[in-house]
Amino acid sequence: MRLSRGALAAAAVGLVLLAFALAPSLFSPHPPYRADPDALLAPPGGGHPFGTDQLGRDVLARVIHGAGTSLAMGFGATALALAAGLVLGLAAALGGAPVREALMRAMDVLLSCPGLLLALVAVALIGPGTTGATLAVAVAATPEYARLVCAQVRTVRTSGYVEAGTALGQSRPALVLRHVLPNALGPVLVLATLGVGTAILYGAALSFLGLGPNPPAAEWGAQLSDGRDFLESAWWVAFFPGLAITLTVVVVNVVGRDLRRRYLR
Amino acid sequence: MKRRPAPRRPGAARRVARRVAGMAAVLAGAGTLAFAALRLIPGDPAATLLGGAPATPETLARLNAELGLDRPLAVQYLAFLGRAVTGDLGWSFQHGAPVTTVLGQEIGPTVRLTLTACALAVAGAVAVALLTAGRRASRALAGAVELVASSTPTFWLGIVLLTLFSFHAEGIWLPALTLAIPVGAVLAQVLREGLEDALTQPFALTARARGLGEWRVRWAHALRHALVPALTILGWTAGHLLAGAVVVESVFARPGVGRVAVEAVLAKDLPVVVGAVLLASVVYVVVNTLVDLGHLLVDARLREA
Repeated sequence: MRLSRGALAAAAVGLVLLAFALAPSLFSPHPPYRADPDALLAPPGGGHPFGTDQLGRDVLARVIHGAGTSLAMGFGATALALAAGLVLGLAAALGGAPVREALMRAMDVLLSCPGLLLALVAVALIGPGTTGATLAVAVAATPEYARLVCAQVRTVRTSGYVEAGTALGQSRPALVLRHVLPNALGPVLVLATLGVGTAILYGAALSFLGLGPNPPAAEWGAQLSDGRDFLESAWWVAFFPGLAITLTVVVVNVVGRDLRRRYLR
Repeated sequence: MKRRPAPRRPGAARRVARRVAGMAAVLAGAGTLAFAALRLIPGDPAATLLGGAPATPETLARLNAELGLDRPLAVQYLAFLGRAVTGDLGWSFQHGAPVTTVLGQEIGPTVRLTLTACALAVAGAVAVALLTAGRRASRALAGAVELVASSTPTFWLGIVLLTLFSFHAEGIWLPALTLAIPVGAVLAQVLREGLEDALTQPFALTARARGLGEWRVRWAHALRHALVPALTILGWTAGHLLAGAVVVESVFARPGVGRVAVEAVLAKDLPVVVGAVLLASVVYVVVNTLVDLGHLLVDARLREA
């Protein structure tokens, strides 16, 4: 897999973020939950490069520890949506016209609702929290994957190598698993890379609205929401978690676009 | 746009009719989904409606009968759809008022916000695309800015703008700008790609050969062609504006449908959530249908019968 220079730089930043997510304690200057009553809303500098929040917790430590939650929500929601989209898309593509019509019209209906709003309804039904918000984002992302998988499988199914497999007497499940799926999946996976960015944004938005992880969990959207009350006196509480979200989504988008340019044009 | 090889293409009228029928079907589906969502609330619907207020089984039974919740599901479903069409979306226990009334009071500010943002996004995107298309340095710069702008969470952008402009949040401009920037960034990308594509076409060369200035070629000839892909994105834009309004209204503490919807989610006032989202879906679907039909106006190739 060869990436452009920009995408390589983005991937490097992505690796750093991933390291933060996997082993936050290695990089964090302080524990994320330790409150320092002597340094409430302390400005950036000295022992707190990103300052401290209203409880005297180190903002940098919370941003580093928040990487795990935010990335897990983004990647988790995308993985769930991809799995659900795969099942629905395969069923629609292989189940015959009535099944396909029913499933695809249902996806049309779900797509008639802007993504974040669909996630909002889902979270209202599932209930807020880390799991609830992740599931809700997954629900919002599923219809697009289902549609794409269905379209891809239908294209691949009429190709020469599948016909050859049929002629050689391979069983249907073997055909689907060995030939149809691997060939149909490429574009879906590339688009899923871009989908991770959207999922992270949606997850953070739900947290920001108070529907994500419960306090005192370190999560970027929730931190931003906390910092909103101190904007005039302490901009850093909200600024740095937002910067982290933007940086992460830029990284994901640069890599995703590069993959798309490479494989889907 | 690729031409379809079909020998007989449906005329414009049939195309419109088919598209409108499709829209009606999707909206009926959305109504069904709304009904399902409302019935997915665990527990007795009447008890949910009372918002956890203590009630005897007799009271619950009477309320259930009064609301028709004891009738078969299919009857309830048809009644729900019938009421929804006439604008009756149920009762909000949080506000103690019909959902339609609750949303109706909030719709004005949201419409103003989204329309202002839409105008800002389109104007900004057209200007940026016209200025940067086909110019290496400026397009690279604009591309980088657009990438960051489209990756920025709306709520953070709002907070940054608020801090930069020292909390002059009274007017509509700051929230509208917040909503417009991520959407405008994506629009600008699509428009520029379309413009660059159009500028390499023979008609652009012809226009230049006729002695037209570069601006005239871009503004009067190429832009129209760049609008076709951008128009497709406009439906997506509407969705982003509607969803973004939810967040922006919360950031700027503005009244509006989005803020009421978020409050309703927090208060578990599901009828309001479903009503607000249904409203947004209707707008979204109608805009997408209009966009699709708008292609007929912009792209003459689709019009011929």
